[in-house]
Amino acid sequence: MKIVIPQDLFSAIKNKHLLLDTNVFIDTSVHFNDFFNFISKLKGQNITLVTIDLVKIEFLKGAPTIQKYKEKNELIEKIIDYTIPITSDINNNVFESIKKYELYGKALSETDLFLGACLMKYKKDLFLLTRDTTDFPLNIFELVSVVNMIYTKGIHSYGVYKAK
Amino acid sequence: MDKLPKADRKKIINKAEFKKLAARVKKTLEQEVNFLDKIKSNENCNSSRPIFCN
Repeated sequence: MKIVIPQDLFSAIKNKHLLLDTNVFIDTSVHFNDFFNFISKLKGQNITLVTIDLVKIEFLKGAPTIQKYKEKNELIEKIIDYTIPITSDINNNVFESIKKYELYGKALSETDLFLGACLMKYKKDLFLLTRDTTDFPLNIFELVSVVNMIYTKGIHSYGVYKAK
Repeated sequence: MDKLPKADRKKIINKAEFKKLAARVKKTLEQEVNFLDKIKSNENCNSSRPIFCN
């Protein structure tokens, strides 16, 4: 397994905040070594790792016992530095983005809408890391970089997005 | 322009400990996916086709 990080990634997001989607936490659990190294590199570049409660909910739901819930929550808290609070203007951005997504918005989850709304609020400071590269269309978001994880059985691509 | 507050950056100090935690979470995720698969397969389960029931 190998992680391919483009040279321009760290210069683009150094000293900024990186918003992590649910699939990053899932993939950290499944492909620990690669993600541990990647996360360590991000932290080493003074990049603040953040998420939102909706992502936490997506990751935590389904935990079969309280103990397993706590373990999942501990994994999130060990990775992230900060949880972005959902303010009224982020809520407003969700409704505005629904207008921009048009028919395409029907397929989106609420989590995707709120992640996009956060990017819109913190345009200069906040970037999103996600494997769901079909949920952030390039007429609304800018693809800053692509990180590839090469596994024995295939390649996972993660987009790094910001709001336009 | 809205600014995000500076947060104290946490260090993942103990790789071995974190690895054990990730391994436990991985097992939990597998259990959850298996449960979802079981629910989905039960969508095909009805009285006329009991062979699909789990």
